[in-house]
Amino acid sequence: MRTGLAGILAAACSILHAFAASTEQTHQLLVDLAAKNAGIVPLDAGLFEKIVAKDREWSVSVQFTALSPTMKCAPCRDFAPQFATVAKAWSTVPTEQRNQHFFATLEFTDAVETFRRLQLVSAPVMQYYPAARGPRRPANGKLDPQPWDFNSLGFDAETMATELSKYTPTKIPYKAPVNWALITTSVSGVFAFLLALRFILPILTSRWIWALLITIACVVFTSGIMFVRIRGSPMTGSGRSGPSWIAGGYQNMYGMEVQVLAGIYGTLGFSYCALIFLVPRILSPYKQRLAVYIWCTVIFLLFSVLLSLFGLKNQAYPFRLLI
Amino acid sequence: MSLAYPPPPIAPSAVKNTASFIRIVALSAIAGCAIASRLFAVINFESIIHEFDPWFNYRATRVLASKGFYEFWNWFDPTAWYPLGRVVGGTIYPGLMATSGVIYNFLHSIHLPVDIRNVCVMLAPAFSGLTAWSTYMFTKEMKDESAGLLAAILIGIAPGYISRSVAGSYDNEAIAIFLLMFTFYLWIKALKHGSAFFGTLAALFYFYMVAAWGGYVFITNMIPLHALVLVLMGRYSSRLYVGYSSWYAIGTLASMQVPFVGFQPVTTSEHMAALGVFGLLQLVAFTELVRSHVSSKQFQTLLRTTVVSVGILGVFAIVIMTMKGWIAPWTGRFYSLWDTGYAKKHIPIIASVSEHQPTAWPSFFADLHMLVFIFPVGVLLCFQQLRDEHVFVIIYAIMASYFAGVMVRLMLTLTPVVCIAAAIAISTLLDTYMDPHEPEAVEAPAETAGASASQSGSGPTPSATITKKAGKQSAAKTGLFGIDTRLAVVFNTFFLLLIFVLHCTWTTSHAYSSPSVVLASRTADGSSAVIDDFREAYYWLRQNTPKDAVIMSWWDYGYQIAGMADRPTLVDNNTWNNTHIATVGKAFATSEEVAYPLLKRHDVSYVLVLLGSLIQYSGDDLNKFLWMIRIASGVWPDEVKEADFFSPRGEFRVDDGATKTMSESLMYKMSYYRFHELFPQGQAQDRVRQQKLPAVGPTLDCFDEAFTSENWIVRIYELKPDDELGRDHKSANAFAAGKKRKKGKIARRRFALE
Repeated sequence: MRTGLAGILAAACSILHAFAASTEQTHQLLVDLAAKNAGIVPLDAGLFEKIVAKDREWSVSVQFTALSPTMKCAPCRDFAPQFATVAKAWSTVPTEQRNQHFFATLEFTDAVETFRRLQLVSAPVMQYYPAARGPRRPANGKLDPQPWDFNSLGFDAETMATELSKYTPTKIPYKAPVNWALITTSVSGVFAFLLALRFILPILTSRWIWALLITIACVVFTSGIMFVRIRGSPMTGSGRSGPSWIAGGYQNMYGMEVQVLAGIYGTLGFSYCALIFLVPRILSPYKQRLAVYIWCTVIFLLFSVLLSLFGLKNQAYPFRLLI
Repeated sequence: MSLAYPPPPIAPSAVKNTASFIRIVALSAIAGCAIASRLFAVINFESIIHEFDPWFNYRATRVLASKGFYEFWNWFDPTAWYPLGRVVGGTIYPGLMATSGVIYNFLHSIHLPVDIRNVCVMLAPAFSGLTAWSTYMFTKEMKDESAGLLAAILIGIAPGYISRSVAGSYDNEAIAIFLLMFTFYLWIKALKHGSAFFGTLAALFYFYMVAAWGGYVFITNMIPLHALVLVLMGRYSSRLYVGYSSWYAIGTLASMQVPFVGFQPVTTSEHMAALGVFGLLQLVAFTELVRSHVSSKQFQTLLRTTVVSVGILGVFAIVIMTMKGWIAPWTGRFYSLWDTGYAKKHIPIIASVSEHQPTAWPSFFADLHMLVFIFPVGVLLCFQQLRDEHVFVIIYAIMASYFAGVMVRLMLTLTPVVCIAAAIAISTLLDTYMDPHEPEAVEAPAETAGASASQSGSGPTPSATITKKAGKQSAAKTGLFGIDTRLAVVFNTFFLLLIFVLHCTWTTSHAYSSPSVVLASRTADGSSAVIDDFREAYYWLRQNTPKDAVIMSWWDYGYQIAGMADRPTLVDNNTWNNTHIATVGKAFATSEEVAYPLLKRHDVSYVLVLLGSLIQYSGDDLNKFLWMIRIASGVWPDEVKEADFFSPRGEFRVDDGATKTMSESLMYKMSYYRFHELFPQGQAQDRVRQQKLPAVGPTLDCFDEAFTSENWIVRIYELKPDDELGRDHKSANAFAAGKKRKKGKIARRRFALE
């Protein structure tokens, strides 16, 4: 009995020991991998299991991504460099704190099973796994991974650094990189502008250049370009029957619609300009008559197209011409 | 010179007289038309105040009408923002209320006993008639009377303006667009004649505008921008100096008399452009003065350098003062016009309002129809003469197009300039094609000219010079041949204008004439029915609750509750206190156990929620719930988390797949409490979100259902009083239901004993 108990105790001790040893090993492994890969630990399914086992004294931010070319995940490719810069910034803090938090990435093709188990149907996903033991264990005892909210916080590295700094042992020393390209372009642009001023000045002071620019800007603005820019609408999307360039619904639109609408408005506007400016200058009665009828037809046809396009957006709209 | 058709045999003086008479008749007909097309709401429903903000304006106007101006000025409203209250006089633009108050008193003084409500309802249509007139005056300065008349009728019926000025839409914009147009007209007058009189008038109407609408900042920046562009174009003149200085000096001093504006004109960035241009004009004027007296060239160079460097120093001074915080930076609402992502990130309360969303093209087309593609032509035509006032239209067009693209509500400021520019374009087109003069056909000589020009490579032959001369002569006389070409274009234009009128009438009657307090619907047999749940519920509150019972609801309904139910509210549409709104959001987003003590501490007696699930009313609270969560989590990020309300797949669900946080939130429970009883077992269906609800509905421990309106749109719950035995509500309910208490679990006292 006594020996049995001792045996169990010994076994328990050794398990505990092994347990402690294994966490120590994992930790060391993570430190090494992070040092080797510019601050990002590349995970595989096995290593990921070791991280999520709740015996860590350190925390980790995991990026679930699908960067392999076959996946065609554009947001993943946008996000990965942002994540990398934050991780790199983190790798500059003193060893003491650096080894308390890790940045890791898990590629979909390496761990399909893990993705399935976590019910991750979209990528990228970033989660923060808090320390499960030790001094950095959260006071409220919540050990669930915290997902990064892409909708409200976005992809920006700077936001990520400030938000994650709430969890890391010390502030992430992220500094936005100096945009040398922009500075160089703008400085050289200004310089080139000043140099070329003598040649450009007649263009800049030309009334019709300005007229053209402003008229085009008015047309483009009223075609809804700001909507597309603010909402980040895609160029085209998928409708009920395959891909479509026109979005369903009154308060929704795709990037393509701006181009089509600006084209229609521009042509209609030009037709009126032609009727006002060009046609009276044609001095041959026959050519002039032909031009008048052509432009009137263009106006009439394009206006019908416009009405039917609006009818697509607003199903209840009763007015149609020709189409 | 031949004529395409014989002009009517009337003497030119008779034509002139008749034309001026017809103009008067046409203008009054246009005003009548503008008013009439805004009456759909009164005819289809009744003479009622619309939407949300108008209810507050109406309530304030009633106070003004019944108690007089001084009472109104010092009015402290203790029922709004309970328990904080609201100093009304200092937090509103009083122009609207003062206008209706004056009209009301005037009508009563001539013994026309009109109800104040009817004055409020009819104010917007009446002012739209004045807008049509001021647009006529403005456009007349740009082109001529016929373009003015066209602009007047266009602005009279354009849906972009009607959307904010139907009868019953008693909001600041109702009078503000008239003031905007009239101030612009007076400014153009002042600029054209260099008249201090018109400058002062512009300043007075600017003051009226400041007192009426926060959008006055548009004028504050448009006029300086116009002046600045004129100076940059080298068009500085003493007329500009007189006009601008008189407008700025008097206008700014006057605008500071409005308590809500106060010292903003000298301390905030929005107004700095006006101040900067004022300073610049003084410098330029000084230079011009010295230059006219001194001839030395070196001295002029020196002077010019001094002026430029002083200007640059001034800009730096403003920048430094902004950085130091002496001049307040751009306020969020204005800043978000430039940095369009700003509001969503930092001020969700601004981003959450539907009229602050960017504009998709269907909105542009619905509001402006054919004008949307004709007005660029008008802008282009302005470049032809490019007088000082044309520069104004051009700047106005480009700025307003941008702003209207960023924010739906700013479509309102775009509409006038679109109407003006389009009127210039259409009127020029009709001028060209209705002119009976025909040019001389030069077909044959033109052809020989082309042929001989190609032949004569070595030098000009005699015949070529002759035809060139002929070509030059007829190039000066451009024009149209034949009657059919004229008819084709005129008919085409009139046809499009006819469709425009049909479109405006249809859009106005279908889209913009709903009071939103009363909803229109159709019954199964196709006859129209009216859904009147809101007023039903508000009158229930008015008649069945104590006068001091505090009602909690989302801020959208604050003004309506105050106006119709006359009860104190926690938050309302004057969204000045974000924390207070976040508190309400938190109460809705958390569980009963968290929300109940929170509500108790705020003395809340009733909670009002909107549910559209039964009749597909999509503007209900669950659809706004995400914004409540967002605003609440901005203040309490640890207690309310947006991610908790989304299913693992990132969907916002109310069915069986709803998250625990979602299904335990007060909003969810109050929305769907007893809702499943309307359906056969297990068939409960949410018709707005198109989801099947769980078979077992939510239960409420701390609240009693007090009232549910006919179509289940408005649901009102009463907070239960504390349990007589000091138990918490959950265990009291469990005891009443005969459930056995779990062993070893002792009911926790809700309140400490001391």
